[in-house]
Amino acid sequence: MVSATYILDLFIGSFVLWSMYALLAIGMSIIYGILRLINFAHGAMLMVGAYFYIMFLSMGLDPITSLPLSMALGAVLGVTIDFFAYRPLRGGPELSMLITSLGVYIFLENLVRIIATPQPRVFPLPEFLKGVYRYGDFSVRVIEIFTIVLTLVLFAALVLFFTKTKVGIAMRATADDLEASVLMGIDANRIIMIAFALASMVAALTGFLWGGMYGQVDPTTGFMPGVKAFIAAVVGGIGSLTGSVLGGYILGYAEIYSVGLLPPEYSGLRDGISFLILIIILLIRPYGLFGREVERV
Amino acid sequence: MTLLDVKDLFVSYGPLVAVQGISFQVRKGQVVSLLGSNGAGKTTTLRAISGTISLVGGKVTGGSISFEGQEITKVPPHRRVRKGISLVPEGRKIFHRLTVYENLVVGGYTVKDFGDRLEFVYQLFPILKERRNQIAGSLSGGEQQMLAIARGLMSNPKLLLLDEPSLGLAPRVVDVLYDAISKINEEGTTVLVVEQHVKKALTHSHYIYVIQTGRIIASGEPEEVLSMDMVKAYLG
Ligand SMILES: Nc1ncnc2c1ncn2[C@@H]1O[C@H](COP(=O)(O)OP(=O)(O)OP(=O)(O)O)[C@@H](O)[C@H]1O
Ligand SMILES: [Mg+2]
Repeated sequence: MVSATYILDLFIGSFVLWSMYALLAIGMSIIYGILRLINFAHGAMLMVGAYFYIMFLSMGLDPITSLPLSMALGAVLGVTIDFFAYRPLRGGPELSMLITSLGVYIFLENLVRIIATPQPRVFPLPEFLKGVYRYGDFSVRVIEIFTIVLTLVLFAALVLFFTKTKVGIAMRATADDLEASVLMGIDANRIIMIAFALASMVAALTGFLWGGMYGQVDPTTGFMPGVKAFIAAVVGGIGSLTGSVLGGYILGYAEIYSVGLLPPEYSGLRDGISFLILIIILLIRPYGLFGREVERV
Repeated sequence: MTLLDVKDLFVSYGPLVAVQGISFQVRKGQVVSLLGSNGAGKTTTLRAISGTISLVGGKVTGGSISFEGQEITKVPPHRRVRKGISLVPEGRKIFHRLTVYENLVVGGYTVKDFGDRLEFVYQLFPILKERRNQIAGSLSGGEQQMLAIARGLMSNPKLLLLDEPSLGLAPRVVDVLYDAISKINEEGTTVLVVEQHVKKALTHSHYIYVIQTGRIIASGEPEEVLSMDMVKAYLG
């Protein structure tokens, strides 16, 4: 029989996974909305962010300083990649950017492999996130609560940014119609820079959460989360923030519950289930749950 | 005084030369119309002036465009807005997923006196104030065109470029739009309008240029130009 605490465990587990997929999916969605680029390299930004954090720690900095620094460095890296890899391709076929982003993913993974060796690294959690709360049979880790709360706060902050600030509204306008936004005096390159900075910063933060949850990172860590976030974004309707969050939720939920409730011999189907959801949703709603048909001029 | 001076302009899309050496001037304070039938090169000309031609795969290959005596052909499009040029594009291109108010916020991206500008365009088109929280994509065609013009005015332009503002709209709505255009002009904004709607151009502009397959074929005061047999035959 499945006990109530077990279900609660699964609930927390799916909530945490949702948070991390949603954070990555939001970043992918922001970039897709403006550039129509499915940024496969986004998963690598998670992995690189985790390594940045380890790097700052090993330089003797404390966790409270290392986390924002790793996010800032992630943002700088994102903007740099855009400048050298994607900007020269603007105005060209969308496919060339897509393929370039695959190349960027491979480049980043291997660069980290060379610099930091292919061996997994222990990811040291700061003291204040190490604890576990227990209530009878039920237990929850502080990092889990931290991840959930931080995601909710961040999501609220992003909603405010995109609806209440001039730059945020301008970013949505650019995603809606780039040519028209240029006619309003908006420097599209600057908006794209901000999009990469924002998305990469959030990805680096996700890397910290991911490392903290699983206790270690290696150069391939970003791959599956990147794929899952892509699925989450597509399921939700790529380009829509609400959609990304909802897509992340559906995916995290389905993954944890299917693994948790199916007999153990089926747990290998975990990743397959994500793809199954993707296929079913796309058959029913080709533009995702919250997506709209994209008109191209 | 000449506000906009286009000299011997050539614009190409790859091998296609869409504008073939046209020259015209827009004097400060006037409403000038550029008339021509489908494919004549009107939109291409406006895109060259606004600088967005590069975004649609086109290129200025010859000639010059001067605004307030300054050559602007090399100035990136978003900076031309700060110089005082605003284009209300063909097909309106409002931000469909944003509210009316948010569209105007983006229109005022470059200005400091956002509140005053908002007041001004709400006075010009009171319906937009009523609809300010509505998603722009759900407005009627006429309202969308009003929004497009209002949005273009938010940057407080010296020169307003309008690309076929009357296209696909009921005569009554076209009247409202042209009344607004006259009002904008009376308040000191110079207007260059591209049209196929000959009647409106006749009554609302100070000067007319007629363009055919990338070349100017006639120019002058409205009555004078529109009484030419050649122009009558071309525009119908
Ligand atoms: N983005 C583009 N790529 C290639 N050719 C184009 C492009 N835009 C316009 N053209 C071509 O350039 C020529 C002039 O087009 P333009 O849009 O300037 O005409 P127009 O006078 O605005 O016509 P309409 O009244 O139909 O809007 C046409 O032959 C058109 O097919
Ligand atoms: Mg046109």
